[in-house]
Amino acid sequence: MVTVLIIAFSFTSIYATFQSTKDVTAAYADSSSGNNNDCAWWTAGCVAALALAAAACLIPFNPACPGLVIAAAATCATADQVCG
Amino acid sequence: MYLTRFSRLLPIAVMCVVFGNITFADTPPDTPTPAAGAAFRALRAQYPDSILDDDFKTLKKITDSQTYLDFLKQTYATNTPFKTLEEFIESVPPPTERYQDFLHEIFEKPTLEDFRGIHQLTLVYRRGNVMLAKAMETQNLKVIQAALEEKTKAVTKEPIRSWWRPRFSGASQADFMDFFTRFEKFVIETEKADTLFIREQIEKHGKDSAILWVAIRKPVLMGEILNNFAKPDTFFSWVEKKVVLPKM
Repeated sequence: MVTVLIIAFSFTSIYATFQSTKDVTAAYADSSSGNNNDCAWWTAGCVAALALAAAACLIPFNPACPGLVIAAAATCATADQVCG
Repeated sequence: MYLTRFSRLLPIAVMCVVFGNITFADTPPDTPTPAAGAAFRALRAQYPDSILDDDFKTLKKITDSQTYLDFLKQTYATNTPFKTLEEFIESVPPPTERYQDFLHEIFEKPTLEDFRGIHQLTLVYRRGNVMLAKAMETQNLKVIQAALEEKTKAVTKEPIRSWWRPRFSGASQADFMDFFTRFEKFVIETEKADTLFIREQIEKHGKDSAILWVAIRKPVLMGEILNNFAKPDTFFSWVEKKVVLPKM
């Protein structure tokens, strides 16, 4: 019973992290077509995308993991370009 | 059309002129050369017992041996002299045939710097993939995040950054998404090709001799094995695909 509760809690936590960072990442992805060239904005995006990817990859065989790793790499590369 | 084809081949032709008649590391012929055969026999005579002990101790001795380093010096052209396998890997020109198709997808006219840059990035990504696979087994979020950082921040660290930044100047996040999507697939293909090569060597020669053939015929891959894996068991799990990498 305790094990089940721990597993349920873990998944809930991961899902919450997943959802919150997913929203942030989506916002950054949307902004790529705009004119936002703020270094702090993209740096925060890099951190958020990395956290999201790590949370996704924690779940075995999660199909979302690879795409989020790519998104994190792209966001961090953008941050590096923007920050100079 | 012919002009386009010619322009794609031009950088390779220029590199051939620059480097002259050299052998690129990690591009072994289908059958080992006489020099490779002689090196194998000499090393096997020096190390007749099992090579695959814990922590790759014997394998490290072999790759530090004068016999092995002399073979590398005689076989592969390098930009600078070297005294260790690590120095050899840093000074040997990148295997152009591995990267040319991919680079031509990305750049109209890839330069020698592009080949060097993508080679370095590929080595970091391959190491990152091994780290990630191991990290996923731990089920520890911080360990996974550290492994992911190896990959996702590779282009923001030197020496790759010096090549990357000017080459992708003005690129958007969408451009980077496109690049990394293609690149992840490309890296996985290189891993598949190398694990297939190793499995073929094992089938032909058995594990101990196979790893020696890998050292002789693919020295850069040998360096990656020693750099990325602490124990033979983990390495063979990777070779046998028991270490599951996320599909990109």
